[in-house]
Amino acid sequence: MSNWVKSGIPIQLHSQCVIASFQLDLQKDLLKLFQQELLDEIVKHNHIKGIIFDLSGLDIIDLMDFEHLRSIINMIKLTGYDTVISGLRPTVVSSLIMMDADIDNLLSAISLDEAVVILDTKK
Amino acid sequence: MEVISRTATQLCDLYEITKEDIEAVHEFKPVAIDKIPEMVDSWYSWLKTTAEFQEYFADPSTLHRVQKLQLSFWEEFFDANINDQYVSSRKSVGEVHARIGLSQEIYLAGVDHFLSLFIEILLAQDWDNAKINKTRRALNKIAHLDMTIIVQSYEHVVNQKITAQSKTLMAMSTPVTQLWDGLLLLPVVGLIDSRRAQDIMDNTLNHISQHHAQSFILDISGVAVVDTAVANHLIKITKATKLMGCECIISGLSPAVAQTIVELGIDVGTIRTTANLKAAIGIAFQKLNMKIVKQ
Repeated sequence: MSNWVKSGIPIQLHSQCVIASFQLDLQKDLLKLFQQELLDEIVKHNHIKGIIFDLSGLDIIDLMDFEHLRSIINMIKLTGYDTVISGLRPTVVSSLIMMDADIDNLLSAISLDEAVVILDTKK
Repeated sequence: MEVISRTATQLCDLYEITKEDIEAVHEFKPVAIDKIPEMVDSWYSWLKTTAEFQEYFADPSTLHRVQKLQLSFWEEFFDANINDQYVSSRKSVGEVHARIGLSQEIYLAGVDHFLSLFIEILLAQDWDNAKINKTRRALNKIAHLDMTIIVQSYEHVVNQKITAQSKTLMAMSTPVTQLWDGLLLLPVVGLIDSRRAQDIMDNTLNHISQHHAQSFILDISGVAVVDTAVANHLIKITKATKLMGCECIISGLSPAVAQTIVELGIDVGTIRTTANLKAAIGIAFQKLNMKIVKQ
């Protein structure tokens, strides 16, 4: 049964970076599914530079979901890869700051191009 | 800014204007209406002595038009047909006053002037005391009703003006400029309070996403006081830009500011700070893999 349920968040490989594009509103169950899918995907590959979370499709991110994203990033770190967040919208950023979200030690980029460059320099 | 706008009937209730009051005014109307042109003249001869006269009524044609308007104003007043149309006509009077910048003082003095003239006429009638008192009371009520509507709409227009102005001021106070491709500069001048900090942040983030900026210089050499609150605002702004994927450099830290920050025990973390704009630009160009070369 669980094999049929998918998070619906596309995970692609581009310039040896695993790119996950979020387009749906984040939810706890969805993130859990995504987390499983992403980690499975990562361990399949041998030669990747890192992971990029493309959040440009999200209009709003609440604190819980942001924490969950952070924990996914920490999990990825344990598999030995860095994660770059790209394309956060100004309104999302300002609401996260207003909610006092913990944003230290995150890599972020303004665009996918920039995110690839960051991962390139990290390796 | 919302105006509390009551309907005509609610206003009548507020001032306890009854049918009898309106009847009393109606009865007084034929007596008063003949004298109104005369009263308007006397009012304007008084107005001539004020400083405002030259400013607003120097043009004879304007004066003539305004006098005509005033006549119809008082006619409406004596018709005392207080419905929504009446209210909106009074509202527009207030709006016009506000738009041309005619002070409330002059308007209120005018109402008072006319009222006292009406009372004079009223006392000259050989009516009995009770009737005179009743009419007097009725005139007062309607005049006050007028004043309420006019003053309220005047205030509304003035408030709107102020809101528009403060918006412009806000836009002017955060002039984010593009120094180079991917490099933005925001010089901050004056005081930073939480409202302004929020404004700076919103504006900056929008510009960063518009220009795809990778570096952002916040020049605080024009900021008068940096205390714990201001420092925290600045730290928040840098964190926000970082989350957008844009490195923030704070430039223009004077020796005094550097001392206070350390003395207050503020942890600036990993924020890049420089003493002057030149050093900040140097760092930013380094990040952009660029170099300024002498020809």
